[in-house]
Amino acid sequence: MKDFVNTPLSLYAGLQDLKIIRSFVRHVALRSGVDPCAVDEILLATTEAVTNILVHGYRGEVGWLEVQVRREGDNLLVVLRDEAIAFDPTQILAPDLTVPLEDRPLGGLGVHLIRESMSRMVYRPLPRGGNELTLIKEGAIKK
Amino acid sequence: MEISTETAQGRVPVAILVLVGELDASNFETVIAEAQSCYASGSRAFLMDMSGLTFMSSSGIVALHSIALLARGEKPHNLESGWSVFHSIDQDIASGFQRHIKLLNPQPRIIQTLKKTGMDRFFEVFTDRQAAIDSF
Repeated sequence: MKDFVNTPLSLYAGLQDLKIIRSFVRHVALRSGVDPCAVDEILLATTEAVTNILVHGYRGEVGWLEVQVRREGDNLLVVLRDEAIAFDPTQILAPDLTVPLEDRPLGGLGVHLIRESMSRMVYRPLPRGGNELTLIKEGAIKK
Repeated sequence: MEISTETAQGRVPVAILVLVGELDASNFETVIAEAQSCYASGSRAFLMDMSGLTFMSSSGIVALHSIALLARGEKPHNLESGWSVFHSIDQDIASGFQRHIKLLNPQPRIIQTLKKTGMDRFFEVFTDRQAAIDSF
């Protein structure tokens, strides 16, 4: 069976596709040799990131999404590309409960869980519009 | 994800919501709706049987917290509120375990999600169904 490493999943996604996206990422991550506990964390982070794209970027509507799972050395990367409005989740700060609620930026539990589950995330706007978010799990691949 | 509901009698009647499958943004509102239906029928104690739940995202956390608010007569979250949801949850965590909704046998990966958000300090977890029912 094709292992889909580096081969992206490209679809017009809605929230009902979250499970399919997780199945794809799970399959590729396990085929890449990722530790099962790390797979759980990668799936959680991917779900949170994709949910943010669909709910906030596409305002709950269906939108184009590309999901690619890549291996770089011992690190596993999940690269998400979309055509949604510009949104950089790396700029969402950890919660500061001393700041008045109305002054806090958008984002909540999802970004927090991405940070808790992955080593880091890297954002860049796409030249044609849209966003690219790379979720990186360092040391996820055991030899 | 499938949801089924049972009732059990401990010191008080307990609504047991059995969740099987994966809980995320696509279906968390159905969990809240099911709890609302139980509440409308008089339930004030909720036991979430999570033994068959294989995945839960932050939407599941929001659903659980919404049910806790509902059970104590408060309005569930406005899901567009972003940080206000987090803030509300964070305030509740500081108050310790709440008594209206408890969890039965969440799988280790879901316990990890609860820990990452501090919700393990808000939802009491049981491994024995009868003990959970009797704890209300």
